[in-house]
Amino acid sequence: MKELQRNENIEIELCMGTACHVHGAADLLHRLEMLGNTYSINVSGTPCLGSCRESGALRPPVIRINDRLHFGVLPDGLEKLIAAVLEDDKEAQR
Amino acid sequence: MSLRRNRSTRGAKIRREIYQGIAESEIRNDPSLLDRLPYDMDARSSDTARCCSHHRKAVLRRRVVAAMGYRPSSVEEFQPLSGLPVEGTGKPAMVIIPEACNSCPSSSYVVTNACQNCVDRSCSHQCPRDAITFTNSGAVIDGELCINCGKCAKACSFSAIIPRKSPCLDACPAGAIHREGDGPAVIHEEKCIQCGQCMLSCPFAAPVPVSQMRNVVRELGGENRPVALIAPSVHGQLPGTREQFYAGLGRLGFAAVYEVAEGAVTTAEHEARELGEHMKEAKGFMTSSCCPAYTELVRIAIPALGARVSSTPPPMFYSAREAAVKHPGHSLVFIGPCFAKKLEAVRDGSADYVITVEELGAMLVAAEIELSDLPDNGCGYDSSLPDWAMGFARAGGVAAAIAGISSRPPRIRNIKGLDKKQSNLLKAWSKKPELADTDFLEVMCCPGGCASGPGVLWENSGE
Repeated sequence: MKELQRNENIEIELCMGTACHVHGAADLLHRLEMLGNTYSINVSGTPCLGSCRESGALRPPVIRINDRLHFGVLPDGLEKLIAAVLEDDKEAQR
Repeated sequence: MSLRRNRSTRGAKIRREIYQGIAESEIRNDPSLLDRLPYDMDARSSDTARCCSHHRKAVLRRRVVAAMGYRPSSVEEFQPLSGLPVEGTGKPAMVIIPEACNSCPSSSYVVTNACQNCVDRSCSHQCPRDAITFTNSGAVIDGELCINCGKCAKACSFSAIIPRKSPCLDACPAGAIHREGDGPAVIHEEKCIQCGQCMLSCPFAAPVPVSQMRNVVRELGGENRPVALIAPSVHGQLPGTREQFYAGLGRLGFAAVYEVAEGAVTTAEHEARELGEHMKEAKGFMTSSCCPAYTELVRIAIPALGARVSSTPPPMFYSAREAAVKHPGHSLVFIGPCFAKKLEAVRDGSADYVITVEELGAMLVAAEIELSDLPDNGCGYDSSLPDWAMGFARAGGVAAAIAGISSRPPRIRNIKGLDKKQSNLLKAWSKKPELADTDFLEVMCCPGGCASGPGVLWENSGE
C-alpha cells in the first residue's frame, strides 16, 4: 500500500442522502476533515446520488473520489482507499 | 470537550442494516425477508472477525432476534424468524449474545514474549506483592497474588508487560456484567441500568438492546397511527431541515410530532423551584433526575442517594402527558438517543414505545424517504423554543438551564459520563454529601450527555 502524497489534489464528493447519512456519512465527513489537515483534499457534499438504490449489492455510504464511486465506505480504512485510488489513477496515466 | 467518537463502526453498520431489513419486511408486508436477512447480510459481508460463515450467520440471526424484540437466545434455531409475533417480549433489556462475545480475559497484567529475561529484573523489584517469578523463558505473573497495580509494566525496559482488558466490564457503571470462568460475559438483569455503555465499549458488538422498533413500524402502517415525541438530541442527526424532518415523520405515518424540549422547559422550571426550597432548608446538594440510566443506578446501586435526586419528572413525562391529552387512544413513541429511556417509560407509563434515532433512520431508509427532497415549509415545526431547552441534550445543559432561571444562583457541578470510577465517587458523596461541595449536581450517564447516547447516528458536540 502506497502512502498518500501530501501535495496531490484530491476531489471528494460525499453523498448527503438519507441512506448514506444513516449508514455513516457524518462520521465519514469528520474523518475527511481530519485528513484535510494533512492532505490537500477538496470535500464537497452532494444531494442523494441515488446509487445505493440501484441494486441491493451496492451499499451506502457512497463517496466519489476523483470521479469514481465507492460504496459501503467506513471511516476506518478511508485513508488507504484514497491512496489506492490515487495510485490507480497514476497507473492509468502511464 | 469530550472527544468525538466514531459511531460508524462495523458493528454499528451491521445493527443499522438489520433494523433497515426488519423495517423493510414490515413495510413491504413480506415476513420472508426476516428469514433471509442473516443469509443476505452474510453474503455481502467482508467480515473476517468470526471463524466461518456459519458462525457469522448464527450471530447475525441472534442480532435479528434482538432487533425484533426478543431476547437473542430465546428463539430456537429451528424456529423461522418470520413466524415471531410482532409484540416481542415487551420487556426492555440489554443482552450479550454469547456467540458474539469474545470472552475477553478479565483485566489482568501478562508478560508477553517481548520479555528478554534480563538480569536486573526491575519488574520484580517494583512488584509490591512479590507476584513475579522467573523461568528460563522469562518472567511469569502469578494471577493469585497480582493486584493489577501495573507497576511492573511501567518498570519494564522492553514494554514486555501489557494490561489485558475486558472492555465491557470496565465500562459498566453498575457492575452488572459478570463472567463465569472463561465463558462469555453475562449481563445480570437485576443490576443492569440499560445505559448501553457496554455496547459502545465492545469491539465485537456483542451486547445488544432488545428493540421495540418493529412494533412501531407495524403501528405506523395501521389504523391508529402513533404520535412521535422527539428528544432534543435528535435534531441535526439526519440531513435536511427541521421542517423536512417533520415532513419525513409524517410520511412514515406519525399522526403528530411533539418536541420533548417543551417538556424540558417545564422540567427546568419545576426543578429550579425545587432546588430553591432545597437550598433554603440547607439540605445539601440535589441532583438532576432527567438521565434515566443515572436514576436507575441510584435505585439499584446507590439507594442512599435516592433522597437527593430531584423529584421533578423528566421532560419525556411532561411531553407525553400533553400528547396523551390531545391524542387519546394513540400510542406515544419516544424517539431519542437512549436505551435507558425504555426503563423510564415502563416505570412512569409515559411513552408506549422507545426507539433510537438509529432505528428511526433505518425506518426512513427502508421507506425510501429522502429527507432533503421533502417540502421545507408548513410541516408544523415550532421554532419558538428557547435555546437552553434544546441544550438539555448536552452535558452541562441541564445545570446551566436551572442556574439560568434560579432566583438565587446555585453552585453547580457536573458528572459527564458514568463509569465504575464515577459511580464509586457518587457512592462516597451519598455518605458524605459535603464532599460534593455543590448545590446542584447534574449527572449524565453518557460522556457528552444525550448527544453521545448509545442510539445516536453520530456524536454532535455542537462544534
